[in-house]
Amino acid sequence: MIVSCASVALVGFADLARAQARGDAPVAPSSVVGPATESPTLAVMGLAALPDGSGGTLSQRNALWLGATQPVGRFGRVRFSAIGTGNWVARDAVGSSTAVEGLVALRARARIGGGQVWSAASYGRAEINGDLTSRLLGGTPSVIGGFDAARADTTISRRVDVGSIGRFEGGMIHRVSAVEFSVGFSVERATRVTTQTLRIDESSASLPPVASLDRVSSTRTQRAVQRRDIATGIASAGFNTGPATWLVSVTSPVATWVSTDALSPRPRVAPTIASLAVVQPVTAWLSVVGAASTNTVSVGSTALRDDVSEGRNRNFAPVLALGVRIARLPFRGRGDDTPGGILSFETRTIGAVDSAAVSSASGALDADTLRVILLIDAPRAEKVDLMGDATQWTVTTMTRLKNGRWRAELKLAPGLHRVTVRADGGSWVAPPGLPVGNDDYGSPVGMIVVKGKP
Amino acid sequence: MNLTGAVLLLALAPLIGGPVREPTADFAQAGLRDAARVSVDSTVWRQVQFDAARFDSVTASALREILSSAAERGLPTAPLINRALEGAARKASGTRILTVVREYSAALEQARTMLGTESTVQELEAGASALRAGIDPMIVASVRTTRPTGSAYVPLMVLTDLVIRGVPTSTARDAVTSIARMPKSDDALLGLQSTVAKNAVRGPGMAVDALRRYLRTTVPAIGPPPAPAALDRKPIRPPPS
Repeated sequence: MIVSCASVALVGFADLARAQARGDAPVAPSSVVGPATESPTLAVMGLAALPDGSGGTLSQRNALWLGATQPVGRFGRVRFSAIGTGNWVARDAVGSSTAVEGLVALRARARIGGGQVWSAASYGRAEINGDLTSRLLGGTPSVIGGFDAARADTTISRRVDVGSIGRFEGGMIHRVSAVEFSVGFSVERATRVTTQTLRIDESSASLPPVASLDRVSSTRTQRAVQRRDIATGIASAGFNTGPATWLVSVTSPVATWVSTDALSPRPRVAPTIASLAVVQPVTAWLSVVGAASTNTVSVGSTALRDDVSEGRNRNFAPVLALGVRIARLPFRGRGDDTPGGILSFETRTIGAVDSAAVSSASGALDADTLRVILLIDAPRAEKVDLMGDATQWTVTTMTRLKNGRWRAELKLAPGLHRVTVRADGGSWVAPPGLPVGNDDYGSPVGMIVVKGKP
Repeated sequence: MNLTGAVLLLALAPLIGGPVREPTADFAQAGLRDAARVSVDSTVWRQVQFDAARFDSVTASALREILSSAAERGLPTAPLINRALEGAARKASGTRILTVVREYSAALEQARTMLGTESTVQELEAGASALRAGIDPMIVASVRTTRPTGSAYVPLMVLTDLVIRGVPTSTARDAVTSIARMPKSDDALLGLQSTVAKNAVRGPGMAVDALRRYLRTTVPAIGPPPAPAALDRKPIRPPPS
């Protein structure tokens, strides 16, 4: 999905408590999670922040992030997938506790048109738990829930955030030479309900004289609601260098509407973010992922970030991510213009052809012509087209079989025959597994070898 | 399936493909190959007029000139027509289509020079594709020598595929020629291509590694490593007397 692509490197790095306060809670590169992918995936990433000029590097800690996706089925044209992520922030010399963030989301996606136009809607739910202390909230005296923290020793004994997000996205995909460009637009509504349990120890000096001179402790529970509506423009470009896939993207908010109740800090407005990601396959199921971004704040994350603390206006807070991704490759072959199936960008799943098989039907039509069956394994495709020498280079729609394969019967003479296929109106590709012919028009073709009768 | 296209193909297939019976050593009928090259292709050119409506008038006119020139030089025109149709199907510009067809025509002629005048249409097409993929003409000729009497289009096609998938040209040449010398080795060559294609996506070096493993199990001369030399064995001592 374009938003997913654009936020590929929106990785965060910080103590969770501090990050929640200042708005930099770790956000994993969503395309690594693979909301776009049609196959189960598992990714493990190490997240690290670069110096951002704040000088507060001591409070930043490394984080380990895990993400997984699982397709859960389809209903008509709408496909559903489950997304789960977890983030573990390691203990270090500064922080006093580890923290965990989790997310479970269900995404529905439907494509409109011939593959060049698509739309998607998603819904996510985030829950964040942690035992936090006021010291971890930046250590700066501030008004929290109407209590003057400078005069009262306030401790947050428990904090629970529950967030949800709904998003609608639309975009266009266009391929120029070997580069796939995507331009999209998204409208997103994110809400967060924060419930905090506060323990307030007030000194006698701050109390009326009639009270006891001893400190008075009390407990209070606060509930705050935030909501942010944001319209975002996204542009990205993806390309391959050998087996490696690169993605460059820019995400920029077009308009933002924020509403909060009286007790809530203002949610942070996401800045314009540029990111770069590269994935290098190591084996058929393992890839190394690297990403860099100009900022950690994410459009499309499920948790809102508070617009407080010193980092609120910092648009440049670079981060790096390095990790591995485990997934079945949805594409095979190299040099056939397929992207290697690495990141499984949403834009790239359109037009996916998993494999191809060529078999000869029983019997020849005549002395010099054989019936050849071309089978394409693309169970998620809604339409598969073929063209080649056998069809006089006219587009021919293949027939869908019950097992998800696509079939075309060709009548070929012995010899070499060029053929190319596409799924769902995507890019023309050489049928995976077939020998690749020379690329004359920027899109490779497969070669069918028909052997004559002995 | 486009029924019209299929029927048309059915009618033209014997002409386009030529009477190639079996691309192995038993195909030693030079006279038949000559007939395929000359008469079949000229027939194709006369009978398979590409649909001029798929090109603009300037491009169509220029294509006719290129095809006529190729026919006069005895080159197969069916592959050229297919390249032109492919360009039209991919919505390439007329200039681009003409460039590709001209370059392919030149490649066909060079392939005929390297492979011999008795080469079949398939061999010329495979040779031209190899040349267009950047393979040295001498390497193309060396593949031809591995099969002085049989068809060489499968070795050439596999060679091109290996190079496109990242196998160094010299390594691909050695592998293809060593297998192509074996009798009835087209299936072995296609097996090599399939193995390399599966492994090429796994990362740098995987294609070459798969190629070498395949060779060890396919080519007898390469085969598994020999047994340890006698000097490596423990000395056999005579029993104490």
